[in-house]
Amino acid sequence: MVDRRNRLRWALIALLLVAAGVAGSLISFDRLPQVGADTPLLPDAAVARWRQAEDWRLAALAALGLLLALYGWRILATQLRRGGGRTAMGDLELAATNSNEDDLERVGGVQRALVGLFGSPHQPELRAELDVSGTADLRRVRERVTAALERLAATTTVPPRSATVTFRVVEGHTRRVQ
Amino acid sequence: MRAFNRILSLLLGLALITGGLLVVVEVVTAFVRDTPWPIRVDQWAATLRQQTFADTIPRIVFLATAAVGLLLLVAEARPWPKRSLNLTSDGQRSWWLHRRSAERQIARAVRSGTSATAAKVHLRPRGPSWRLRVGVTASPEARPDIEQRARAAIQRLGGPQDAPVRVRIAKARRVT
Repeated sequence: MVDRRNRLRWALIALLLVAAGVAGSLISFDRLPQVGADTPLLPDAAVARWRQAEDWRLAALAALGLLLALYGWRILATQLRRGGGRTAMGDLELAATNSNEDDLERVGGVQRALVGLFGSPHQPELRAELDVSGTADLRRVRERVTAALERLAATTTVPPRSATVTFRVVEGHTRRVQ
Repeated sequence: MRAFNRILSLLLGLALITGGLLVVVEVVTAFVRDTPWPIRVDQWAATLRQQTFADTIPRIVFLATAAVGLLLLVAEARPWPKRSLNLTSDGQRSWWLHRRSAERQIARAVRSGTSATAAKVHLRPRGPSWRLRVGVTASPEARPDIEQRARAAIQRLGGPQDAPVRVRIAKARRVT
């Protein structure tokens, strides 16, 4: 989710950069009839308007600066959030996912589990990211995780409607063949 | 590219916070003391009023902006390799394998079981199956071993058994 939003954001910024760069270059090479190449970068009219600016305009500018800083803070926080900032979970869901994570981390071969519940609270969708040791056979791990998920579905009051499990292989202690 | 975008976004966030707060401070100091602080915006404005669009520095800046924008646009718009590969799903459960971690694991398997040293692995989905390309530094005799290790690694990862494996061997350079 974060990655998709970042991609869109930077594509838009790239478009803006291209537009600004091309427009500036066209004026610079005197290819834009509306604006001459000898126009100053900061026109006198803009300076005059700034000098005559009333107090409320200055206050509006300060408020705009504050909004920009807040927006920057939001972008920063999203990038640093755990699990890619997909969702903000409620306490109940958080408790459920924590116990799921403990359950899955007990499965042989799984070193770390990150679990999230999404969608409708009555029929949630479970997404899990499991760090699996490189020495483990993933087919076996998958069988064990299936069993764990089935246990979970049988014991919880709101069994997940569907489950998406992503394995990430992390370096295990493999014996080097001499 | 995803990590690059995140770092870029982190920097953008920091820049917006700094810039936004700077605007507030500038406005307040310009209002209270008549001279903006910490950046003398009035001096910057004076420079910008003297420079025209046709001057060399602005021209370079415009061209560079367009070029950087174009590079960024191409990087964002071109198709990115998938983050995860689909493993066969069963009913309501779908199983995925993180691509980069699988590539690293196959490379480790190839290096630890054969005489190959530097191994670079490219794993891509192809239809329902996968396509594997392995680039290694090894002697040409090691090819069957490398292929066999790579296939075994795919199977341990639960991947398709019929995935085509292509090995490209670069000969090790002599040290002496």
